[in-house]
Amino acid sequence: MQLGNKLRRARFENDELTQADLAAAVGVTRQTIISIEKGNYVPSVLLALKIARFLQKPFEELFFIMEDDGKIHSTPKQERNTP
Amino acid sequence: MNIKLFLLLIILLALLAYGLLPRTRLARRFKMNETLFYMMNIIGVLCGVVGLIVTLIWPHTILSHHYFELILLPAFLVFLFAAAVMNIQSPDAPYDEKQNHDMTTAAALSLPFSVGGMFLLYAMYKEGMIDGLMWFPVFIFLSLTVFSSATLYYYKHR
Repeated sequence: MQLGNKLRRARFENDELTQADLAAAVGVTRQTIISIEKGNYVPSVLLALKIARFLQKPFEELFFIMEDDGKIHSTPKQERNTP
Repeated sequence: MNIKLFLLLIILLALLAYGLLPRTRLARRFKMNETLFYMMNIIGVLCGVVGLIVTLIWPHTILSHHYFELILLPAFLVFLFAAAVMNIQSPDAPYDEKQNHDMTTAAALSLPFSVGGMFLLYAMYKEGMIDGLMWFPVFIFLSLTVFSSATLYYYKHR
């Protein structure tokens, strides 16, 4: 199980934002953004939230859990509200 | 010029620059960025490798002729410069979270290497193969090499 992301697509949807621009906006280095996009580095919750806020996307749309068999595990909205 | 005097002069000048840099206009020009991070680690690897080679080839002269300090000098200067830049820019968080993560992993890796190296040196010393004082340069250069190279590797490839 690992963390997947749609960061690359979100950047392109955001006026083809470069990795360097995104990195500068959220206060990290370009290499950190590259590693997150490749799935090599799992960002902290704070950084992931900063990225989602800057790209104006819901957190769940950018980051998701990927099962070992490649299936994407999405969290339905009604599940989130149950205790 | 005497090598001891030269080293002392350089270190004093570097410490003076460290103290004065934040007060000058030049301070705004320097940033703790990826280039400086790479430079620190590349110089760390170079000094470490050169130091290890020289220590293994000329174990006695490296300490008696102060080559040990001379080889470490570039690493010391670049680390001091980075420390000055960090001091000016953002003392709370000089590195980003991945850099911190990579350096922590590299430090954890350099510990068993250093301990292993010390065990090997101890065994060689007990057999009378090497001088007892050699542990210090080997420990410093080995730790520097493993730490800097592992940091570079993790930063670039993970």
